[in-house]
Amino acid sequence: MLGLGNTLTASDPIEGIIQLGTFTGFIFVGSPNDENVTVALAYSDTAINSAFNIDGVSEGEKTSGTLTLTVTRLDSGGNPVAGATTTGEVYGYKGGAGVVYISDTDQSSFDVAGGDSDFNASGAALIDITSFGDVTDITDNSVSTSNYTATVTLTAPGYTSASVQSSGSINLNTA
Amino acid sequence: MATRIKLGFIADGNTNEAKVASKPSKGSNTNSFTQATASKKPTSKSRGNAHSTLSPALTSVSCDGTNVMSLASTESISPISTGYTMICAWTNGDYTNDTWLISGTSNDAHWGIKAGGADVIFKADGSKAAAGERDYPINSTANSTTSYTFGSDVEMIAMVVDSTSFPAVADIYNIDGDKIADAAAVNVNGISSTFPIDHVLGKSDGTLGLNGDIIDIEVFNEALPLHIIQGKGSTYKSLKD
Repeated sequence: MLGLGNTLTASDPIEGIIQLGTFTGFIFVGSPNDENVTVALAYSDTAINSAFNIDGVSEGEKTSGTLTLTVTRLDSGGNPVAGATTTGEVYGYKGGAGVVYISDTDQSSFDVAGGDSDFNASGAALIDITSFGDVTDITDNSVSTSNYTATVTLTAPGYTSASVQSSGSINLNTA
Repeated sequence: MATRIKLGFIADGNTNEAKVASKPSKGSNTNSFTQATASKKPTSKSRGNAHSTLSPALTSVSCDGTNVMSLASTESISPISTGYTMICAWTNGDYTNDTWLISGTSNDAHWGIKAGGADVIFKADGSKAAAGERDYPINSTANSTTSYTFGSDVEMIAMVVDSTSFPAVADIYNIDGDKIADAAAVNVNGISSTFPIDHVLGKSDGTLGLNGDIIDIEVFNEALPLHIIQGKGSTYKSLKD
């Protein structure tokens, strides 16, 4: 119990909270279907590897950790378009070494290698930004191509959070 | 306005080292580019086996300069009607020979890169001298904002051609969204003619092909604005390992 005249100091990091490193790559690119985009994270940080609990997880299986993805459509001047930001529930799936794919499809696993799998052929296990999240549709159907920024944040119990952002043009062929 | 041809190679599920016989377009043209001759088929690189300049999350298709894939029916685009934009992205490029990226059977019309990687080349669909192959240097700022030479890392070229009004526009951009050539300013001959698309990756006979790993080929029947070209470049940069 602290009494008058006593000083409380905290000189050490909070025990048990592990610092996550940074992602080395963030891919957000329209492929392979018109309405879907491929979202992938690359990393080499061992703490991120642990936060995803990758070890022992087979390729294509869902990983641990909570991912938040925010996608924003930009206007011709690079400014965010009002009401065009959406955040939703997303899931990470293990790819090859140091790679996690993100999907809005909650399933135990999907085939990341098969030529006819949803992931490769129909894009069903990727992110559909025309219906993703809490906004009906952030795309602009009056044009074939728009610029977007995307930010993903990984949170996991016992770890700090790690974020990475990417920007680029997505051709959804919605015109 | 729409994407006429869309060929993406970074999320293919093909077996590593498999020869690619058919690649369906995801644009408004949904036909497949095909190749029946084994020696002219490009080679799939699965995830983890794509070129080292690319993220291990991606696939690619490797070309050795002798590959070509073709449509059964010509896709024609007229810059007088709507303008057009052609975008190609690749990596690991070798420019020892001329590289025809997109071409037509009629009169060997083509857009490509001249040997050395410091010029863009264009030939219109015509048999007369005015339709001969044109050479647009990119390693100077004579008609552009940036001097550039294509290298072995991830590259993009965008040809934006618009003849819907006078004067015609034929601007060429790199992966940074920099204007590296102005084909209309250098030589406007043939620019406004209808361009026939029959082949990608090389000439129909399997010569003058891309020697590198193809990432994307897209053709739009619209002159894309600069901010979209820049966005495309940013996207391709994000694919680097």
